[in-house]
Amino acid sequence: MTKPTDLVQGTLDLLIMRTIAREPLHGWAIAQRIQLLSKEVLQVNQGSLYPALQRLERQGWITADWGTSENNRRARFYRLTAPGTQRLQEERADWDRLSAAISLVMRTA
Amino acid sequence: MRLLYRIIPQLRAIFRGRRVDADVADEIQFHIDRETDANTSRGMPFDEARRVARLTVGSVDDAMETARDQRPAAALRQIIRDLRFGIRLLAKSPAFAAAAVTVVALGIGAVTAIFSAVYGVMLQPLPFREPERLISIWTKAPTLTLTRMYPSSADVRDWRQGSHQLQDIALIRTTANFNLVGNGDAERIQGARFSPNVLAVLGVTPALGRDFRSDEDMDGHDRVVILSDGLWHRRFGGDSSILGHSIQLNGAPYTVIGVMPPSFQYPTRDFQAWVPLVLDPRERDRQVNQNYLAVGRLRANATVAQAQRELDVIATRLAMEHPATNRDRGVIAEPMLASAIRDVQPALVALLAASSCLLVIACLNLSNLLAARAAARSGELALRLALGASRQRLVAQAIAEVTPVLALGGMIGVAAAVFLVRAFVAAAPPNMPRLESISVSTPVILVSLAVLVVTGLLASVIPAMHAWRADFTTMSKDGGRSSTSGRRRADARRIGVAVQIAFAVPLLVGASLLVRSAIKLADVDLGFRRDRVATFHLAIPRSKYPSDPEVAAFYDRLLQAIAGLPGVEKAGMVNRLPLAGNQTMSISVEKASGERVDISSIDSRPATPGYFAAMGIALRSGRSFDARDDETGVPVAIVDDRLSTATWPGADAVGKRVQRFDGVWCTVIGVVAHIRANSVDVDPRPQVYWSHHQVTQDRVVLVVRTSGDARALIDPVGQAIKAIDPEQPVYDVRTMDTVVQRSLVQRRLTMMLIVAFGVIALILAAVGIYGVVAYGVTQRWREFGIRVALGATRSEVTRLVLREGITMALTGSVAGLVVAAALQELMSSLVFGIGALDVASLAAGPLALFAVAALASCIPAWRASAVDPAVTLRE
Repeated sequence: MTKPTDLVQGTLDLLIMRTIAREPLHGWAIAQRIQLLSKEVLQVNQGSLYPALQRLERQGWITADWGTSENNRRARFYRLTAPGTQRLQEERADWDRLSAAISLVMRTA
Repeated sequence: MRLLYRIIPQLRAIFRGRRVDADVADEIQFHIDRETDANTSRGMPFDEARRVARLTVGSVDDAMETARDQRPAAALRQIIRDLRFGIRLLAKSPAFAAAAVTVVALGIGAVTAIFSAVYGVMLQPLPFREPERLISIWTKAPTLTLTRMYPSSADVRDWRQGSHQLQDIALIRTTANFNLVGNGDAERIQGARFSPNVLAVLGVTPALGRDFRSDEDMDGHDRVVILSDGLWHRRFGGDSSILGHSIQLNGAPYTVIGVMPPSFQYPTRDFQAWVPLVLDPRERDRQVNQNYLAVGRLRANATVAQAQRELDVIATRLAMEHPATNRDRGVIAEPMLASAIRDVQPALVALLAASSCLLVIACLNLSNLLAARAAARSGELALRLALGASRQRLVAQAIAEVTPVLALGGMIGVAAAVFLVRAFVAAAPPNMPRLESISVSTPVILVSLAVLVVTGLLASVIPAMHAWRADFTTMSKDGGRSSTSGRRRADARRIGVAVQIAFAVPLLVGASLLVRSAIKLADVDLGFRRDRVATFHLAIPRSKYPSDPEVAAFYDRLLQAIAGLPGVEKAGMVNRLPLAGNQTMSISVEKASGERVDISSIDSRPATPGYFAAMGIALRSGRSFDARDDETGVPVAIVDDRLSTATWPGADAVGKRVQRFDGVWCTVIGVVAHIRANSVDVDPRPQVYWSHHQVTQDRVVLVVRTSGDARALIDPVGQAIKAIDPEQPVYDVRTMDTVVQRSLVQRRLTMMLIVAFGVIALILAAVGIYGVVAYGVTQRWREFGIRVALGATRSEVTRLVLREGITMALTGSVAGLVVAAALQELMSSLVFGIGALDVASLAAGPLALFAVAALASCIPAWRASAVDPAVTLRE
């Protein structure tokens, strides 16, 4: 297994928002989901996950409620707010443009 | 929308701080449990799984901590923690706390109290509708050096007709004395006569009843009166059925048509009744002249300057049309507020400047106190920095520590100001305008709060800089004793003290100017003797004594009765007391050469034969009035020595002739000493007296000289008057001593306040100098030890320390003298008998500060001289 890639600042926010876009998730599940979907390439640093969640919550993109987890424990579930959904779309479009541009350069240069 | 999402969690965090923390702990605990589960499911033993989970989460905990610190709620909690810490620190050093709080309280108290007066009198709008459109109009005769005169009704009428900038002009005659009879004792009421448009021009309406009608200024329709709220409550029980009823004023029935609201105190708070103004027909063609106040209302958008220009044009036209009365007469139009406060403005501005100086001194003093503490704690700051505190945190805490001092000091200061303002209002001069609007009002408190915050921020700059510059390496090495930063800090404190002294100098110079003025004023030869004299004002109702001879005969009857009272040495009457302001006339005098000279403005007083002896006015030559000088006798006059010397130099004035204001030539029968008729400090005119039988006025002051205590005469004289006419009220009963004191109240009050500010400034400066010098001595302890060890004498060490204090006093004083010189304009109208750049006063300020600086440096110097090198060098 190659060394897990450190996430670029700001990318984590996008990943979190994308991850909880489909359904509300608690912090641990968000980290697991990102690892799983990236086939273990992206390792979410636990120390940056919660501050990122706090930051997003403070900015009003996401909000959290207490709910019951899959193993019947009380857990804090994060979900997108309406402005958060809109923000995700914008960020996603930005990301698509950026990554397309980068791969274009990488391929042709 | 997004804002709402952002605000809600923050609000929740602020109000439910503990809950949020508990939530965070729960969330982390859940994370650990879930991680442990995952690890065990991968085959780890439970303990190992738990340990690994905890390890990953350890970093989570740290991160949460940082995240929490960035939240505003966290910042608020941090501030509260800092404040608590600040209060604990203060409680631990009560001496410092008491000093700092006292300094803040002094500064804020002085500024709040003085600003209350300045705001109430000078800044608060007049209690009329659109007061900025109201102007006062005066006339002036510059060629006669009369800079401000009451206009005549004819002039006002012509201005009113000719002006387009003015919507209307109202006329007020302020001399209306009423004897109110019925419903209790006979009482003299101060009233005013209003042209029917006064209330409309001012924009006020009666609280009850109606305004004057436009036809009520005609003779026969004028028996109507509007009462003040105070009089209505005091005499008529606040009963609204008084409307339409008549009351007895000066023996004539007046119908009450209205009651004004309590806020209406015009022209001053002394006025209690208003009646229509009926003009003497002779005033119309300028045959006779009366004194009026004229108040105009500008048209919307018109300015005072435009009105002034327009009135100037009209005045020029009137001067051509009526050269006899209007030649060389100008007009002054000025905002009504400016007119109202003209007399007190210089004193108030000077007091505001003085209290501001005191505030600056207090602020710097506080700053030095805080800096000294910060210096003492630099080791602690360095240690905390080394342990990981951020510089921002240290600065925030330095500021938070000042806050309790400011809060407590500010509260005590404002409370003291409330008390001071009450005392000020009680002690205020009788002529003080707008006294009723002086209070520690909301705007005043807001300004004080702003001043407090600025003071606090300025005073915290140095300690905050200390916190910012705290440096572990230098601090831990030598406690900052000999480092350059330590020296720089000491320099900053020395500069702080020097600036305090610079601001104390103008205060002391001002105080000294006023004290010297007061001494000069006490030395003024008043021309009369103020001791053992009681005075009683009487206003004689013409309804009872219609003709002049009847009035004069009544005076004679009163005097006869009073002369017989035990203890009475001499009794007389004059129509206006000395120091009671002007009552001027124009007369002509016949010089020895036979040439006639007009004297346009002279103090003119009818007096009875006994007046001069009763008032203690010396008779220089000739005789006083006597029984010969009655209605049928030869018209006579008594002149003062000033007029006599000016007109008939080297000759006796007795036998010379003067022409009375009504054209009658009178023979001078006596010359008396010149007196201060206007006030103690202003003495513009000579004086002439007429026999009370030949010129009779119905307002008179009874002057009684006794062999004992003047106050003991007040009751018997009052009873004697009552025995002759029980309906005759007596008012403004005062000893002559009180009259003199009252005329100087404003000066005395200003002087006392500025002297008090000066003394406080001196004490603060002394404390400041002592603090810095004493601190310097502890800093240089080892240096002194070395000096003594190397052969310096004790006196040399003492001199070294003294020099530090004196240097601060010297630099501060030089700067202060510059400030004082710049402020001398403020003082110029407040000084008496000396110039505002009085050398003695300019020297007194710095000298006092030198003495204080030397004294304050003495104790540390003495301590320094006691240094024992054997002990110090071993430390």
